[in-house]
Amino acid sequence: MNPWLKLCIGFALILFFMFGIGSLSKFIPGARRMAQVIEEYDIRATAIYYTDFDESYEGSESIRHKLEYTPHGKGAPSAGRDCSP
Amino acid sequence: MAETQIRSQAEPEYVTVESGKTRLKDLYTKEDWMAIWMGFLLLIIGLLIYLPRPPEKAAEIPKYNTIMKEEAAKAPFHTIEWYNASSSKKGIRARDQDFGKTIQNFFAAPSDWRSNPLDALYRSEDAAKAMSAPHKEAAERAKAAEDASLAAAKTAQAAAAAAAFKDTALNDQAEKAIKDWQSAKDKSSKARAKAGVKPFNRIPYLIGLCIILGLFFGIGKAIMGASFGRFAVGFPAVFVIAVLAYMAETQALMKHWGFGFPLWAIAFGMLISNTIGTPKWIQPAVQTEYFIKTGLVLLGAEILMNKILAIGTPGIFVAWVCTPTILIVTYWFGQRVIKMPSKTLNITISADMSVCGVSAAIATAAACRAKKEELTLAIGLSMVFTAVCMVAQPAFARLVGMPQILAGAWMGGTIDSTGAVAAAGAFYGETALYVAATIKMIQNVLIGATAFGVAVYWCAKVDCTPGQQVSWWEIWYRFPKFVLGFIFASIIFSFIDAGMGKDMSTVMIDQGVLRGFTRIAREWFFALAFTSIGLDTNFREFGPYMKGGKPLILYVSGQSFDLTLTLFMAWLMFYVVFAHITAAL
Repeated sequence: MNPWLKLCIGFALILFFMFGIGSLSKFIPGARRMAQVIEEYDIRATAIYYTDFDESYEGSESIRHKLEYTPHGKGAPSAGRDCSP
Repeated sequence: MAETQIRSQAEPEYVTVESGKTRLKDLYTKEDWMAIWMGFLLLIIGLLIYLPRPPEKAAEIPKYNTIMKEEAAKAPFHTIEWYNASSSKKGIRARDQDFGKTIQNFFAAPSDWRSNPLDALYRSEDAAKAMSAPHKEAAERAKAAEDASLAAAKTAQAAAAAAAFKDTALNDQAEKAIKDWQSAKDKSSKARAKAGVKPFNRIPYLIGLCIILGLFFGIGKAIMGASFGRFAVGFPAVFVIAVLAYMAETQALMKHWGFGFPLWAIAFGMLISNTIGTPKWIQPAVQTEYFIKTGLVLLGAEILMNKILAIGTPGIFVAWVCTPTILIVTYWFGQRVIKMPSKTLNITISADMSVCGVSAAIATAAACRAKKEELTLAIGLSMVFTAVCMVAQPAFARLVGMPQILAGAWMGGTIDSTGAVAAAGAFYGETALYVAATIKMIQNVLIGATAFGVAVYWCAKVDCTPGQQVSWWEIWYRFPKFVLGFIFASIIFSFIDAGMGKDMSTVMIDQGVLRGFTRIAREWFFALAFTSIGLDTNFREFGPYMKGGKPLILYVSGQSFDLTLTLFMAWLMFYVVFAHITAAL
């Protein structure tokens, strides 16, 4: 087979993967919801290191502030933090 | 990744018999050393750009700390003023200054797109207005909701304060109202971003970046004795393929599945090399190791040892006890039970599955001199399973009713890819997102120790005849020298991080030198490296590695062990041993 034809077929297969198989997420309930979450939070789900996306900074700083400045005011403690999903 | 090695006929294939002399000339002729000098040059430039120019708002940090301290002492919950101070402090970033934005614009990768790839490179004013318009009304509604919930939170907080915070019911109401306000504020911020779409034109910046990176790497090649001209001719082609890889990553559907530029760079490169063949004029610019080693030196600077304390002691146990255990056990399992023929493939898969996916695979593969096909296979496996786990794990956690902190710690410690961890955490809730992202950040820091440990182990134990005694000098000769640059960058930046204090270091180093300069360069270097891998790889080379499905068996067994051990450790640390820390989160 002509190498350039192979290249075109390969490229077409990649496009099929991206737009054909990739769009299957619409039909998988969890994947559809995940796509919405990624869009809503504008998360870079493809990041490979913690410095490649903002959530690691937001998360670690929020946690640091909470651990360094934990509320300990006088008065009744709250009924209990809700750690449920 | 394997360099040309001299082999004795009597010894097994993996035994390295290199000449045992380090010469002064090596410092400027060997790629490992050149990667160190070039990486450190960029790190120094980054420090010189950012450190003399702290943002003006940095002077307000003590004020915000005082407010948080006073508010924490006043009430038994986080007050409105506490959250405002925390938010203002988080908003102080060196890279948000004008020169920081200029640097980020210059280095920016292609943007998001759906159906028209050109949208990744150019967005006109009219297109930006058209994208913003449908969201303006929603943004106004979200702002109104934020204002209303703030008013409600203020009322509830005032009522609790009037009772001197002694009424549990009023305190709970105030805490809930403040959390609702935080949630509304978050939604309003996201809606504002959607309604404030800006125009851009990446094309001139990409052309400029191609020229600068071509000169940067070309001069390095020339110093090492190669032809600058030949490199410069081929480099634009490698750069264009890297840009295409970024564009594939930012396509909406691929973004949702978490398929990043490493996968696409390899795919596009392999498509060319296995069809029309990599043209001879491009080949001088196909420099996998050169790009990857320089990128790894920059990555070293991002390994800040103080980050391991980010979530306290439970985080250290989940990230730094589980991870090395799984790494060592799965390597042993791969060698003794599955009997993987390639040790380098075994350790690379073990690292990417136990530590943090692609970045761990890159560092480990380079440290043990794994072949490029082995790195490609490890990354491919990781990305496919990450796409599955990113959806399946939060679904499972919800099914069994896992608390947010436990779910976040579990997902953060087990899902390979750092970005996918954030997506899975966000799916579950804000607390899960923050915990997951922080745990993964702590695991990311482990890459330094992993790469160093693997490099030493390989030189001392693996790359030698069984029974042979290897002297320290021999270990030095065999040691991949760029790992020294990687480790020293980490040590130096960790000292700078510690020396500046957490607050200023966060503003100037994390949100300045690293996120505002070196990490963007590092990503481009990795994109070029993976493109080179693709352009240099033949499909047939994968055959021997796939026999018996051993890599897949290793991955699945190891990941199953990872999921179980991490869940147990996260529960034990966050809910039994250090429950008081969990209560504060």
